[in-house]
Amino acid sequence: MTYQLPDSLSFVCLADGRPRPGLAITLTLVMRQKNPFHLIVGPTDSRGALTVTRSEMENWSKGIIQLFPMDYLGPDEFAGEIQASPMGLPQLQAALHAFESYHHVMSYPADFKKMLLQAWQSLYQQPAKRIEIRDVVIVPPQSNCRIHTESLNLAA
Amino acid sequence: MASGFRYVSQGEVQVIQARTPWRVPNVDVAGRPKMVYFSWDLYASTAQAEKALLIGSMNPAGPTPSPTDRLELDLAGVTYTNLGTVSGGTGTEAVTADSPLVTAIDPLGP
Repeated sequence: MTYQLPDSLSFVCLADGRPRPGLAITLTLVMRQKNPFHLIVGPTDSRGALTVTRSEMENWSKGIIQLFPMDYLGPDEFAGEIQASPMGLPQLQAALHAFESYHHVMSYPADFKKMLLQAWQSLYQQPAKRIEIRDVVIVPPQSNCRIHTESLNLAA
Repeated sequence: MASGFRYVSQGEVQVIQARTPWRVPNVDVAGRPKMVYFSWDLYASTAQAEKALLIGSMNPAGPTPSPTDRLELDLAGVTYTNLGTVSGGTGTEAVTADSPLVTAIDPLGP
């Protein structure tokens, strides 16, 4: 069966039950073989909402496979599943380290580092115990793609 | 010493050369852990590597940019899984979650 990336995905990010602007999400495009593609999208707007388009997902994937040709297959091997995970401080820190390693050789979206720092600052200054993703909208609705959302518990 | 070979982009070469010692990165561009694929086979040219390993212009999921360089890896102490011969290709493939040492970087011929 062939799966296609959706035209767009929209989410609302809640921190402790309230929409939170300035947050980032990791999307994992699950592949049938080799590594999944991880891409980072954000920031959420004043309503905690965020939309990512297929072209954004494709641009990330192209950049990754161009950098690591042995480690990834292309969009035809997409397994039809996208996982959406909120980013907490450790995930943002890891992404900032990766950006420092790769930004000379990978075309990150404009203002990517600024977005990560904004998300880090938001969670550092106003810590949340739980971040969750709600109200997923997939376009087109009849897409055969499955979306799984994860929550992040940040406090014991 | 067990040696493996990895066929990479100029970008990966730059990332490796920016570190001491040279190691294959096992973290992706989003900061997540990434599996590292390599081969037991030495190819001197891009075309040979692409055809045997089905990478770059021969990627079965659609052509992608070609590798430009070959890494020689020191696999002492590295935990890996042999994947056998690439399906549809002729080269061998193995994979590790580790970050192997790079002992040589050689540009591939066309």
